[in-house]
Amino acid sequence: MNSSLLGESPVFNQQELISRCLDNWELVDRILAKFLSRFEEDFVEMNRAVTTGDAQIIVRVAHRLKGASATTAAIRIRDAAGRIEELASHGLLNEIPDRLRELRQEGNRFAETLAALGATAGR
Amino acid sequence: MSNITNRTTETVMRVLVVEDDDIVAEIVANALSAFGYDVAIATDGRKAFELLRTGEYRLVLSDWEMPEMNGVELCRQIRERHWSSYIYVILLTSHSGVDNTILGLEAGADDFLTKPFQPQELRLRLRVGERILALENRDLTVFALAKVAESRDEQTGAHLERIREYCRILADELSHHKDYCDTIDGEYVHLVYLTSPLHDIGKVGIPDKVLLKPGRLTPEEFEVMKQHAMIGAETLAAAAKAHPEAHFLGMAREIAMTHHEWYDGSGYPCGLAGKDIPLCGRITMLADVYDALTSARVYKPAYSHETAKAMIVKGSGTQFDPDVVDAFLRREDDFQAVRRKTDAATSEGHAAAATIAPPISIPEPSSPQPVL
Repeated sequence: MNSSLLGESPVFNQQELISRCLDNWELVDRILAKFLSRFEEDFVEMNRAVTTGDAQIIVRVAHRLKGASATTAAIRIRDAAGRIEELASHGLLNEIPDRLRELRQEGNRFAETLAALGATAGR
Repeated sequence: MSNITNRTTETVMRVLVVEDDDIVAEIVANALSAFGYDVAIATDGRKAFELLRTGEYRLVLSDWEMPEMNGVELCRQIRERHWSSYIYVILLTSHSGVDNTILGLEAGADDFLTKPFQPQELRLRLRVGERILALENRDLTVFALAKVAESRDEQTGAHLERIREYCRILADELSHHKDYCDTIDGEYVHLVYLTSPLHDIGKVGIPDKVLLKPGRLTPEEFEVMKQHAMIGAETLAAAAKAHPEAHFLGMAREIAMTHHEWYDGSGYPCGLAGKDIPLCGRITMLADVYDALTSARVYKPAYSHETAKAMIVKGSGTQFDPDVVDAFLRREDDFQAVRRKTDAATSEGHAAAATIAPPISIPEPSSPQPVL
């Protein structure tokens, strides 16, 4: 999946997350904070696994990040993680570094989007 | 806060959420708590299985991919073990495709929820699970209640078992009748089978001195005994009002109230006549009388099938609905088979008991008593 296709999806669907959290704003803030922290941890773990060539770890972590980002409505991160999961499950480890760079960019965009929203906007 | 209806039932359903991702787990738990469920979280299948062994959880919402034991393996292990009651399992997964669905269903999952979940869908799918679990309780509870009511009086063993079989046979036969084929389907037959044992539940409200009197009842005592029909109907009506989702209670009420109504209007408690008597009541009337005739009582011996049949045919159009009598005549072999089967089962039980306890002497009846 190339950047232009990824670019068609929103970075973050705030309303979707609010709806999923049943308008519990405290929960929304908590989830977003957890997710930002999780993203960094998972990114580091996948990078390490690329270095060691451990496809199984990459699949597991990418799948987990895909699920968490889908639940958090971090759409582009979800898509990027899904692509990494697919490549790793087919053993195409040499293509993963580029996808990890994409994932890094999407993570940065997500954090910037949250900052712009102020995390408490819309209350 | 969105409009969420709180559960008002006293018993709160507990849900076990099995999810290793704390973000997903927290959002799911928040939704379930808002819907009124009591939530516990296990982070892998193995921990979940240990929690299930406490017997406190009958609803499980499990992720697919997890360390130690994934959701599919958890399902498999749940189904391999014998539990005191059914455990309803919903798999929460981002796995799509028919192959994965088959895999989950083969492992024993009852339903699926796709990630990312929608709260309303989660709520509705859990309600499906609750309805399934309620069905398991229903059949057991109904028969247990009926047995409690039966235990006070001197009905011979397996009376309720025979009644429901007789009713099922009659309803099944009538389902082929042109006047009833639109009314009676498989569900109706099953409901009659399920609820006919409750026909005399009102007897719990009759004093022992009347209910257990071995001899003929005085007119005053008979008036007291007749009240069991209304007592049973009122009890079941109250239960139906408290639990409107329990549609089977409606038929149970009709049977309790009308199984002593005579076709010619000379029965009780309301003097209903003809087709104004609910069909289930007309069916249960014949089944109950046949069983009474072919069972021994303190005041009479068990009549043969032929004798009972002759008495029922004689009562066609007066006590009994002619259509129901015709159905009985077409299926009399099945009636006799039910009797033989329960008598054989009762004899085996008595033989086993005789090796344990000395025989009990039964006093001779003082005088012959009317049956109907």
